[in-house]
Amino acid sequence: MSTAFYRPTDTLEAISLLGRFGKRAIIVNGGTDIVIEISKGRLTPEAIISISDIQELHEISHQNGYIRIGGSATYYEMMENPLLNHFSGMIEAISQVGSPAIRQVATLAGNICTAAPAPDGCTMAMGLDAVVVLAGPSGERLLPLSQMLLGRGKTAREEHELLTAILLPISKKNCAYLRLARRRAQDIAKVMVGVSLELQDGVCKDAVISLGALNAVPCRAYSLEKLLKNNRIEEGIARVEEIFPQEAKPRPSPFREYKEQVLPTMIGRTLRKAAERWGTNEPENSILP
Amino acid sequence: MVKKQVVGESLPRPDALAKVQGRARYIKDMLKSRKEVLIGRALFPPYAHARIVSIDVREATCLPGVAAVVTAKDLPGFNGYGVAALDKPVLAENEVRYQGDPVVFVAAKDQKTVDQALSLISVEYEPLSVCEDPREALKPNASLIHKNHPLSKNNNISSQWRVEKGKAHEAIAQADIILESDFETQMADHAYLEPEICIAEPDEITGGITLIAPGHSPHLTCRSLAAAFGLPHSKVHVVSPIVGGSFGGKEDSNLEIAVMAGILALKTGCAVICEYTREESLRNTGKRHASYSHRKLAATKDGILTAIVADITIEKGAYKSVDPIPQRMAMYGGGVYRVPNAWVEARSVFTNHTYGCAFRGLGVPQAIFSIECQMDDLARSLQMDPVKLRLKNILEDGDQTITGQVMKSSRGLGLKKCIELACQRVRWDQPLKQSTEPAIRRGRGIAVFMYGTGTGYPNDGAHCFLNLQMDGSLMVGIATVEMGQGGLVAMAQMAAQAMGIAFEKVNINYSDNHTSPEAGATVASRSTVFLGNAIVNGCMILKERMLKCAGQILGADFRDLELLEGIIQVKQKPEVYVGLPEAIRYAFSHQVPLSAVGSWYPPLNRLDPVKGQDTRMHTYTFGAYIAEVSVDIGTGIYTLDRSVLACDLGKAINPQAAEGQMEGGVAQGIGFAMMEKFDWKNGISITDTYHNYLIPTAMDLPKLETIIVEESNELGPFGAKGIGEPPVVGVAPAIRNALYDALGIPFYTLPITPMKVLAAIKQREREVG
Repeated sequence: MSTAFYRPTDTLEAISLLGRFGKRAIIVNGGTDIVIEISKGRLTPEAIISISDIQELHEISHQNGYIRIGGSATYYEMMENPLLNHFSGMIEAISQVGSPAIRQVATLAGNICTAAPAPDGCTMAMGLDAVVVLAGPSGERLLPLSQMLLGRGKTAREEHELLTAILLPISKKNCAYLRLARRRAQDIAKVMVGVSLELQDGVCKDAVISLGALNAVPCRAYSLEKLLKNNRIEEGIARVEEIFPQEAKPRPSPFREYKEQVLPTMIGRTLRKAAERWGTNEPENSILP
Repeated sequence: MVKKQVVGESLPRPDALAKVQGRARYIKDMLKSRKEVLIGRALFPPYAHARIVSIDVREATCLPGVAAVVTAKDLPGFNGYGVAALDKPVLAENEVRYQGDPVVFVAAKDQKTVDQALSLISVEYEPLSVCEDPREALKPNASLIHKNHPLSKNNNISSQWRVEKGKAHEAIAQADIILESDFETQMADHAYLEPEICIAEPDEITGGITLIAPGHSPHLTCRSLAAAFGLPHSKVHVVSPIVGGSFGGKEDSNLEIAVMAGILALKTGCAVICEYTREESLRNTGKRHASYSHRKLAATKDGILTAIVADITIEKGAYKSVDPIPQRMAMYGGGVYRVPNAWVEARSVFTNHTYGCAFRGLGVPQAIFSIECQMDDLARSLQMDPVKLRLKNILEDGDQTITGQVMKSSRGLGLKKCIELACQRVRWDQPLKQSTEPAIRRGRGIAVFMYGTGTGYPNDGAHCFLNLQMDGSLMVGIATVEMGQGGLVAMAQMAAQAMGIAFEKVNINYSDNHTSPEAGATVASRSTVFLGNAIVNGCMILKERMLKCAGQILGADFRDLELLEGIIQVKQKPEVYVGLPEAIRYAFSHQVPLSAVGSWYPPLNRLDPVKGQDTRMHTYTFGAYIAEVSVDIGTGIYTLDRSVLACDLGKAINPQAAEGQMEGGVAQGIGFAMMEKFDWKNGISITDTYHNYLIPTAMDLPKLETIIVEESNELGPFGAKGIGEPPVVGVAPAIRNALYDALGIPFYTLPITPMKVLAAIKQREREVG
C-alpha cells in the first residue's frame, strides 16, 4: 500500500483532505514526533497531510484579550515573536524543547495533538489556561486545553478537525515554567511544571498550575490552585511545598519515586519564580493592554 | 639554514578540513559511486538465551530480489570468529547466548526486500534461563554459558589474574586504619557517530575478498575473520578508511558486520554492504566491561598506605572478545601509589549480556575509580587534605608499583607536576566559593592516575614500510587507523622531522593490510610511541643511505653531512650541498634500495605469572583531574562547573591534537560518571537509542581545561608517551569526590545520576532525623 502525501496551502484545503481521509490520514505539523512513528512503521497512514505550508496558520496575533498562536507556528517563530515576550514561562518552556534543529520545525499545536505524557509547550499552555481552536467542515469550535487531552495519544479532536490555533489569555501572562531533566538538552523531562499567577498586594487572586511528565498527559493541579487562591502568596507556596497534589498520579517507571520526591519542590520553585515576576516582567513599550 | 621544527607544532590535521566540509569519504559515502551493491542484514533473536528449535527460510529464499539467505549450515568456513578466541558464532546454530547472536543472514537488491525477507523467516525458539549477573554466574551451581568454549572449561570464567606483592593480609591485620568498600561500575557504550559498517567484495582474480571496514587494525580484522571465510590470511584484504569514531569499539564490534558482509559477498559473488541500525549497534555490540570490586585499603595513622586487598568480578558478557580486563584491573589496583603489600584478584565472567570489549581505558577507569574513591575516604577518616594524602603516597623515582615495576624518571615521571599544576589552576589551597542559592552545595574533587603506553603483551612491537620517492617525498605505510585521534598528522610530523624533509612531502598510507606490515592495532595508546619509533627507525635507515650517496656525489664523508628540509649539506658549510632528489636518483642507479622497514620493540617484559609481577609497560602517562560541582539538594541535579585535566604525555607531537584527545576523553568520562547506563529486561537491553542512552551534550560540559606536562620518555619518539586513553581515566572518581565534598555523602556505584544523589540526600535526612 502506498501513502499519499499532501501539502495543502490553505486551511480549507487541509480540512477537506481530512474530510476525505478521516482517521486514515495523519497530520504532520513539524513531524518531530510523528515522522519517527511513521518511519518505524508503527503508523501506516493512507495519507500524510503536511500543514507547514499553510501560511495563515503561522500567524501569531493579538485578539480580544488573547494571543492567538496559529496551528503551524513553530517554536522558533514563537520565540522570535514580540507578542510572546510577555509570556516568560512559555518562552522558558519552548526554548528548552529538544535542540535548535527541532525547535525550527516543531509546533505547539503538534505538541498538543500528539498528546504525549511529557510535552513542554503543552504543559505550559495548560498552565496558562489556554484554549484551542478546532476547525472542521462545519466551522470552528473552542475548547479549553484541559478538556482537549483525554489520554495518551488521545485528544478531543474529531478526525475531520484541524487544530488551527491556540489562544493564550493575556490575563495569565505572569507565568513561569520549570522542567527537570537528566541533561540540559535533548532529554525528555522527568517533571514539568507550568504556572501562572495573578497577585494583588501579595495575595493570590488566581493561580493555574499544570503538571507534565507525571500522568498519561499533562494535568491541572486544581487542589493546589484552590489552596493558593485568596491567601498570601508566600504562605500559600509554603503550604503547597508540603503537599503532593492528588491530581498527579505518576505512571509506573524507574523514575516514579524520584518524581514523587521532587514534585512539591518543583511546584514551589515554579510558583516562587512566577510570584517574583509579578509586576516586574512588563517589557518596555508594552504592546499589550 | 635554520632547522625547522615540525614536531611540537600544532599543524593542521590533513583530515580536518575535508571532514568539516563534508568531503571526507566514510564508508557509507563510498556507496554513492558504486553500482550493483547488495544490501545485507541479519535476523536477531528476541531472547537473550534460547535453544533454536527450527529455522524456516523457504519463503524468504523465494522472494524476488533476494540473492542469498544464509544459515549456520550454509557457511563456507569455520563457524566462529573473534579477537582473542574464535568463540563468537558467525551464525547461531543450536543456541543463542545473547540478543546479538545472528540466526540468519540475508542479502537482497534493496533495503525493502531485505527487510521483507527477514520478516518471512520463522524461527522457533525454546527460551532458556538468562544469566544477567556475573556474580551469579560464578556460583558453583550456575549453568555454563559456553558448554565447549575453546579457552574456558568447566566454569563461566573467561580469564583471571592475580597480583601479589609482600604480605597483604598480614599488613591489613596490623594496620592502624582499614577501609572496606564495594564499588560498581556500569557497562557503557562507545557512542560513535558511524555505526558498524562494511562493504565486502569478492576478488574474482585472486579468489579472495576485500573488506572495506572500519576497525582498529586491518590485520586483526583479517586474522579474526579468515577462518570464517575459509580463506588464507593473504587473500583477505582489509582496508579501513577514515573511521567515524571508535574508542576501542570497532576493534571488535565491527567484525559482526564485516563477517556478515564477507559471507554474503562470498555466497553471492557480488559486492555487499551491511550496516547496523543504531538500535542494533546499541544492542549487539561490545561495551565497557561492568565491574564489581570489593576492596580493603590499609594505612598508618599518618596516612602512609600499607596494603591493598581487592577482589574483582568483571562482566564478560556472552563472548570473550578482548579480555585483558582482569589483568589490567589487578595491575592498576594500587593506582599511582607506593603500596608495599597487595593482593588483588580479578576475573571476568560470562553472562547472557552483550559482550565487553575494548573501550578507551580498557579496565583502568574501573580500577582507578575504586582506588581514587577510597583515597578520598581515607583522607576524610584521617581529616587530611586529599591532595596532601596523595602526595605522601605517589610513586616517585625508584618506587615500585604493586606489580614490581620500578618507576624511572628517565621514562618521564610527571605525576607530581600534574597534581601541582592542576591544583594551582583551581587554587586548591583556597576554600571553594559556595553559592548564594540556598539549595546549592558546591564541592571540589581530585583524582590522579597513570596509564601505561602499549599493550604490555610480549608480541607488542611496531613496523612500517618506508618508500622514498624520486622527487624527494616519502611514503609511509602503516597499519595505524585514523579514527579521529589525529594519528595521521602526528605520524607525518614525526616522519618529516626524522627524515629531514618538509611535512608536506610525507604521505601516510594508512590502515591497509596489503600495503603495510602487521604492527599491532591502533589501541593501548601506543601508536604515537610504537609506530612513531618505527617510523623514526626507518627514516634513520633511509637517511643514512641517502647521506652516503650524497657523500659520494659531494666527495665528503657522510658523517659530516646533514639532511635538512630536503637538502643534504655539509655541516657548518651549507654552501656545499646536494638536493635529496639527486641523492635518491643516485641511489636508484647505484643499487641502493629506496625502501626500508622501520621497526621498534619496547624492552622485553619480565613476567612472574604466579604473582603477577612484571614490567610490562615501558612508560606511563600520568595525570591529575579536578572537578568542581554544584548540587541542587532539592532535586539531586548537579552540574559540573569546572573541569581541569593535567597530563604528562612526555612530548606533545601535535599539541592541538593532544588537547583534542584530552578534551574528548574527559567528555566521555563525564558521561560515564554522570549518566550513561543500560537497562535490561530479561537479558534484552531496553536501552537501544540515544533517546534513552544518554551521553552528555555540549550544553552539559563546562569549558574543558587542559594542561600539557612534558616529562620526556627516553624511549619515546622525541620523548613522547601515549595520550589516547589516559584522559578518560580520572574523571569519574574526581566527580564522585567533588560530590562527596559538596554533600558529605560518598557514592560507590556509577553512574551517579540525579536520582541516586537525591535518594542519598533523602536517606541522610531520614537518618539524621
